[in-house]
Amino acid sequence: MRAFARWLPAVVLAVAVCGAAIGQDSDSEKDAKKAYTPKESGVFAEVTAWFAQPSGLGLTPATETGDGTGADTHPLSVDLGTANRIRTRVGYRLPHGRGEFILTWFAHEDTRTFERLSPSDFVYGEILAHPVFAGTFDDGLADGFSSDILVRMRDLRIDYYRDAFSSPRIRGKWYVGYRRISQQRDIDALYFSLAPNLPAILDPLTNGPKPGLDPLPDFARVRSEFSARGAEAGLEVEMPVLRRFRIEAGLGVAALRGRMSSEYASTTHTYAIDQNGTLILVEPPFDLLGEFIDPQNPELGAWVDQAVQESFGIGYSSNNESANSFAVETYLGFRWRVWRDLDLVGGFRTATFGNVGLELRPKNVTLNPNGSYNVQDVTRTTYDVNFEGYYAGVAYVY
Amino acid sequence: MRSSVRWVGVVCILALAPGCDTTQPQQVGVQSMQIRMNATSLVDVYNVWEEYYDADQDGVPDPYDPSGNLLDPPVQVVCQLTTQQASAPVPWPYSLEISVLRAGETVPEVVTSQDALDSDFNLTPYASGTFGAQPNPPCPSPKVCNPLGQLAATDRLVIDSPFSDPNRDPANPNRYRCPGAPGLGDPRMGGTTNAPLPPPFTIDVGKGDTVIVKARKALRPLNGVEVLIEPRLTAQTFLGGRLVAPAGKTSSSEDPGSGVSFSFTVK
Repeated sequence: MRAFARWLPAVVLAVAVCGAAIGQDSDSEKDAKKAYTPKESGVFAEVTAWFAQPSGLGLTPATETGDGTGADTHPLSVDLGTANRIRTRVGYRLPHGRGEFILTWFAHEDTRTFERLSPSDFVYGEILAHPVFAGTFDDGLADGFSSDILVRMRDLRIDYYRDAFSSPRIRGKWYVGYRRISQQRDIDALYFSLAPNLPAILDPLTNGPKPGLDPLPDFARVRSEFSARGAEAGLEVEMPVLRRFRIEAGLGVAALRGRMSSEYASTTHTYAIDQNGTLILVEPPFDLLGEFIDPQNPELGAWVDQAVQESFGIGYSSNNESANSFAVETYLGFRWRVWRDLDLVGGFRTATFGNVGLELRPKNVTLNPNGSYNVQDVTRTTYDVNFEGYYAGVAYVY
Repeated sequence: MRSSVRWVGVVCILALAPGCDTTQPQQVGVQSMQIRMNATSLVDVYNVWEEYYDADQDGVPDPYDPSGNLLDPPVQVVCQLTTQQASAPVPWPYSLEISVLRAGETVPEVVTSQDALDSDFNLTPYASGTFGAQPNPPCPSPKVCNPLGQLAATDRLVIDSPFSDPNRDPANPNRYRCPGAPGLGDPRMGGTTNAPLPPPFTIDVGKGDTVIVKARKALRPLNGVEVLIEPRLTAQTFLGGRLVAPAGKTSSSEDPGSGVSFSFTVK
């Protein structure tokens, strides 16, 4: 279904081009002149659906291991796919050819839940969780995970356009303006231990239920927010192909400066024996939890009576770091005058925003005897995001 | 012509508006899964036979002995200790918890009762079958003896028999004594006190479901169950009547109170 959706806009483009060509035969000369006589001044509005697919954000909440050799371990990444989002442009054309002002607004938001459950098969690597105590067996592996992902983009442009050159075969316009973007990238992941087959914590090992020893899921959260503003410039060209049909293309670049915030949090768990407040870590596979202290005197109690599940939380954040970014946007499309001043528009657009995501991950951590920790160094990973896809819509000049 | 082509374009654009993602319903085939729990140990072997009076030789056991005393029961199961030992099933109490993690879920549902968590509630099956040749019982006249075979000490016939006659062999008073005591009841698992389920535990599962089993032996046997060493608790899992191999520990050690913990996912 998704593969079909990928080709559907291309089919629509083909239909539009063919339709224009067929319809051209019956156009009168008078209609053709009217179609390409731009209004001296007026309000311009364009609404398009951009079937944009964001990529490059590194949305990988887990890995999957194979036969244990490591060579076939591969990432389980989230493909956000194409999403239909509205891109709106409104503008005003100044009289006497003094140019036009155009405001462009594009908002993209996509949320996904990515889940894999394979009880008792511990094949999913907890790559978002901190390695200390990650995984029920402290090996960084889970038998299932559920990840919630949010990608949000806001793009606002206010540009001034002016004719650069004009001939019967091609017309060009340059533009300069202001651009403001904001980008958010959130990944939360729960790593489960659904069927770890730990020693049975049952009577007569325990005197009644022993809650709190079922493995708690490990948790990790990576968040990044970026907002920036700056100047942009670009060039757009229009090439009449038929009387009512034009090919258009454009290229724009922007240099942006803004603020970046990033947050990392991880909670992992392990088992320990609590002997009068002193915690003794239990080594996997935790057979000790299923054994009596003294098999000859089981009435004295079991290890499990003193067992606890300890949480180890670690986090790191940075707020409002200064950051530079850039944007490059290109498109290639058509504009088909279907009725008076109404155009059908369509084409393919790609927009790249550089250095808009930051992931901070504590690398080396020193555990203190009192349970606190010290983050000694941090790895920084920056991300670019690219939106690309077909667009289609209508434009009208009042 | 021109307007019809325009309409085609508009319709195509409108057709793009809905999302293309879809969720297909899963195909679910329900199968029956059975969990069998057994305890096995080294036990004594007994020559076992029935003894009764039949003065009129009509083949029906008399309710009275020759002195006119009422016999209860008229037919007694007699055990004669042999020097033979064998590995055999043992009726041993254990605690049990069976959970089902349905496909796509992350929280299991416990399907055994609260009673089943008590290590005195569930009971593994008795031994069955005979060992070696038919015994030739030393039948005291005028009784009639009907050989039943060489049975394990954990056979239900042996455990349920209260027969004990230390005078038959004063040098070895235990030679003619059945080790059991009546009242252990049927093997049972899960269920409730009033309605314990007979083993095996049976549950319907679908593709992707995971059955999680935990069990632990009681520390001591029930009265009348004699074993030479601590039994091992073992579990067998059948899916659609076919033996399958779960992940985890399906056989306990011989340590007192040891247990099993395993799971199986229907692929």
